[in-house]
Amino acid sequence: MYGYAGKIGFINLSKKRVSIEKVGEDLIKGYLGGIGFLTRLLYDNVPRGADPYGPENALIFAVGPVNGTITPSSNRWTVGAKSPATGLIVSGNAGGFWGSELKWAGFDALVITGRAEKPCYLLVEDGKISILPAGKLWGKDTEKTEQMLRAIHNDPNLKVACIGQGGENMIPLATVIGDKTHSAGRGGTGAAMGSKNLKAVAVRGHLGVKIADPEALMSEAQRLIEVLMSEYHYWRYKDKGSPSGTTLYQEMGTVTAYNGQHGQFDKFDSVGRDVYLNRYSIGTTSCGNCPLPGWRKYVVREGRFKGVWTDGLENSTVQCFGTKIGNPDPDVVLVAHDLCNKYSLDEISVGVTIAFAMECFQKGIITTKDTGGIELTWGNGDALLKLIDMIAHNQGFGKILGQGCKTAAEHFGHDSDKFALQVKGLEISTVDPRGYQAWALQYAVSSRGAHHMRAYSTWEFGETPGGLSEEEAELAGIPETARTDRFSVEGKGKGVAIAENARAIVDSLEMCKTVARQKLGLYDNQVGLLNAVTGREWTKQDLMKIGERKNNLERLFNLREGMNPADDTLPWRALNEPIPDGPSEGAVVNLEPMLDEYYAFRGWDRETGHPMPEKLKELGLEPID
Amino acid sequence: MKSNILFFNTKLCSGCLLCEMACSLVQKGECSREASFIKVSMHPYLSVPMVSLSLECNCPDGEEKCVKICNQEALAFVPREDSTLKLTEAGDWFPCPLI
Repeated sequence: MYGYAGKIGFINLSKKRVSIEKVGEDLIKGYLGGIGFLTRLLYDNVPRGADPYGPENALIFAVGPVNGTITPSSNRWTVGAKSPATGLIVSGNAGGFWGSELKWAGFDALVITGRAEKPCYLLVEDGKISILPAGKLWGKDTEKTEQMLRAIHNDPNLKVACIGQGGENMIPLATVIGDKTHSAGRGGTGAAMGSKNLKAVAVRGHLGVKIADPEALMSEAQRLIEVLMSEYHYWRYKDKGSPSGTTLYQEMGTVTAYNGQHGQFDKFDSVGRDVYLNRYSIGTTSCGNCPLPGWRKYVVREGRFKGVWTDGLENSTVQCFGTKIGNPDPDVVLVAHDLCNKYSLDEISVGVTIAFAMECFQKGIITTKDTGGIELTWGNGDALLKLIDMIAHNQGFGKILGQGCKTAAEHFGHDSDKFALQVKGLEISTVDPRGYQAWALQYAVSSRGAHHMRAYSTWEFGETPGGLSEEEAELAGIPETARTDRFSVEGKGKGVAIAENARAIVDSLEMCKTVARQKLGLYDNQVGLLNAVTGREWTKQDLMKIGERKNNLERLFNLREGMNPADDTLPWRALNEPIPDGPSEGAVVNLEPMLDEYYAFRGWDRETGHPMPEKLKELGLEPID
Repeated sequence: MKSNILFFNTKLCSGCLLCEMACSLVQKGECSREASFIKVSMHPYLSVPMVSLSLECNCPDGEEKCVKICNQEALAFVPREDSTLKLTEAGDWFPCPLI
């Protein structure tokens, strides 16, 4: 089979049973790959009402049809489950090299159910899957785990996705880490993995990917690399790194300083983009098959953290461990990032939850009696690092914070939920929603809770010199007014829905949405690649339909779990408390008209949240049983 | 075995593997690290790349897809007679070991 490995591995850890099945044509035609496969497989394999920590939950890894090829940025992989954090469908996505290796090892997806009697790991190699005892791996951090597995198997090219202590302790803020520093992000997939007593999935492949039309693929790859290099964001990421985004948001007054009590951080110069570039950066690497070397490496050269080194510092890292908690020490930002990767914690949820706790401390809702003596004052870097450790090990005050800010607010009371920045139980990532209406809407409607990468409405930023490109406009498919005015709600509902569908295709191909945020994210630029790889005859219309189908199936999963339209909302602060200062002063989110437009465009009932029967029929989906 | 000598730039090479994908695509019609004559290995801890070349590479001069796909311009085949000069002026350029 061209492009696809053609196989899915089903692993039941309770029964120690592995079965390997061929990928069906219905799955390929209906869901393409990657997150599309994962969504369908989760819907079919996780029973309604399943305990996210129970053996009946499924933990699924998936890659796409272009993974492991010369397709630019075809390195991503997705892991998903019923979320321990939200109780809804969740998937997280990471780069690095693990995704390609899984394809080369002969699999398009792994579906893991049950619970191992004792800690174990999976070895996936050239069409075979083995369940092996984790032994001394259990209790080790992600970096040590990778190192030990390579030694055990005498193979420096073994690729490892694993959990650290956070996942082992089933913390809802835990994630899965690939290749040491590539985090699969949000929603507690690491906790789901820990609940299965599964420490790691180690993969090694020598099978390669068969290409239907090698000449056409080479030509398309070269063309798209040139297209990518003509784009502003390519150079911004290559030359400045992801933290350059934080500088942009600071300038826009949307950096969510002090848990959103201010639009700008008063000590920003000490944690801004240039600090990391000039003081710590030692160069960049790329993820697999990616022409954008944006994975920057950083070393702390002096001071009490001398010698700490990490990579992949993100805009969200700088916000969550810098601006949101009022921390002016960039050393601490880097060390916190390193700790979260080693413990397999979602640094966004960790940072937002600690910022929330700091505001509770500021307001006297909690005191040192609650925190176990920790002075939870703004900018207290030592408190941050101590709490990360306590969260990962489920100790003391960390036991409460490890549940996320929604649960912590229920625990603290005193209306603290008003400034607990979460949606559906998942903490708000990066930008203050009050400064960008489409960004706010995507937080509200995202199937996994407050995250920005489902719609990734970058067209609202106006970051491209000279304005937004025609290609971005085409991708968005929304009125010009919606693209040029970040405070306007006009067209934002339609725009977010269209963008969610388009981004779903990037995630189904398992390309990188950072790389494909502009022209490489256009269907017209994906069809040629896809057909050259697979030898099939996909059309733009096919891809549009697949993206829409994936988003509707996620909605059905969540409705089946009891979600309703009232859950598509935002925290009280975002809806009622204007940003008090800076370039976005006075802004709040005007959510209702955007939701109305979004639901109408989606063909969803505004009262029940269900897709209309005609929409389901159009997409070939069955209503919930 | 090629007469020209492959150099790689230690600062520009990002370890992305696109050169391996291009080579295997041309040689075998598939994307496969095993089928590639050019090999990129990353230090498992420091994530620093090293590039080497198989003695089996016999790609015609000027048609090396590994060089063409590398948008970081981190690869260069240098005629044998110029290679010692390249070495003296190398800076970040390093001759790829043959394997």
